[in-house]
Amino acid sequence: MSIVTFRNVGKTFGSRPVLQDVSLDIEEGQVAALIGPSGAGKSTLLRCVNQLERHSAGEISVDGLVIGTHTRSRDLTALRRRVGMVFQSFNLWPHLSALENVMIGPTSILKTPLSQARRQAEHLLDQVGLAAHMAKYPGQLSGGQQQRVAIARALAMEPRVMLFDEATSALDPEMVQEVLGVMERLAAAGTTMLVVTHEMSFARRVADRIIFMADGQIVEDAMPEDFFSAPREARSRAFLERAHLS
Amino acid sequence: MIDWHFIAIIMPRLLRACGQTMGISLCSLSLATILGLSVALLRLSPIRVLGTAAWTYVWLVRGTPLLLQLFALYYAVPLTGLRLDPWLAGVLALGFNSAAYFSEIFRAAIQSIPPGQSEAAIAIGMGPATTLWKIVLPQALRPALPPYIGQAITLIKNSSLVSVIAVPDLMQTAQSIYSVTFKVVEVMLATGVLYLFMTTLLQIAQTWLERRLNYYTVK
Repeated sequence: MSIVTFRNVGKTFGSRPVLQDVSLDIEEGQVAALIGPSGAGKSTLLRCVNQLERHSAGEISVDGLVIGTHTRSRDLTALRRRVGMVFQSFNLWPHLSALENVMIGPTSILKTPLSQARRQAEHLLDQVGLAAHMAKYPGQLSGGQQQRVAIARALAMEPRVMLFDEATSALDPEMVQEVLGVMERLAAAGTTMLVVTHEMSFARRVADRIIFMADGQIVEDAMPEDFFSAPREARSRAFLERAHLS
Repeated sequence: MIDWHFIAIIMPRLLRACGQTMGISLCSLSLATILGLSVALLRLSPIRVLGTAAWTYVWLVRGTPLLLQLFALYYAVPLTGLRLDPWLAGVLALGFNSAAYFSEIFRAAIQSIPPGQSEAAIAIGMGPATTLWKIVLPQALRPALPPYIGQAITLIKNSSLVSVIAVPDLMQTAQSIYSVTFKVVEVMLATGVLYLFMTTLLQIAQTWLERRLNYYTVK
């Protein structure tokens, strides 16, 4: 069953098109890696899923909720509760401890009782390997630790889909693996994931599907082994050659 | 020579008047804080008309003298049939006046919070009110505090203007004492010390609050 559907979705910033006629079905439990050169529209596509960017043409549906171009903004809140997002720059709330960052969604949005939310948050932070750091504030944590808190924060809302927007791009090299490791475990647990990434080996190993984008369009949509060993499109090949060189 | 004995005699009366000034200042400070925050939020609202209304308010209030606003409330409003007693006119004038300055302080503090902060809140499904209350405002407190206290100190000193509409505040009491005794230096010396005492309380509050609000910034 597909859980995220794009039907002829377009998006323009001013007069500049950033997404053109994108159609896409993401199945439940699927891990899709979005790759492509910068400016291809990968992040915009991801941000359309939870409507941080409103699309300007077509229709998007997430877990049965249909979002048009004129859906009222209050109806978008229901959509966003079902979609978790992890940002490149973490965006943890610095005035709240790691535990509070994870708890505040359930307590303030879902009205989960405090003790239950706390137990859940402790469990999630433990799962991402931060049991010893729950009381710390984001400013006291390393980048990798902050990003793992951010993942736990998104998971606390029990989303149907997780979006990762270059989750490791802002990290020092030695911290990339600890975040990718958490993402890999999530994938193995059957989480539906859309991952914008420049980590080609991660995409190849973990994703079920590679969506290659350029100039606001999906150029190639293939299984990882096919995409990386025998890309169909000339632009995919050119991109992969550059990626291997660097 | 300064007549210290005279100062000791007038002190109880000045202290009572100092209490009046504190009362007026606290009431107008509360009004100005709530109104200032509302005006700041209107300025930041995506609805154009509200933003323009807030801008106009700030433009009018900051662009005219407080003394004139005080007269407007005390002498012009009664022309509409609504009579304000001097104390209320004073509190309203001071409150409305400071609100314009506070609104700019709050707006700047709110805008200094990186947009990623509210974006992360929106992304987990927080509504705009919760995002503002739980994510943005708690972080905006810290940058707002120093200019807020500065403006609050200005408010206390400006409250001396209500003496012109016969509110028995510290300044009005001081004037009525020296107009009979002609001991201007003694009266103003004591009065100045009392104003300094009140503003010092705010400075101490600022230091204490800054330390408390720094809890999440690590060294």
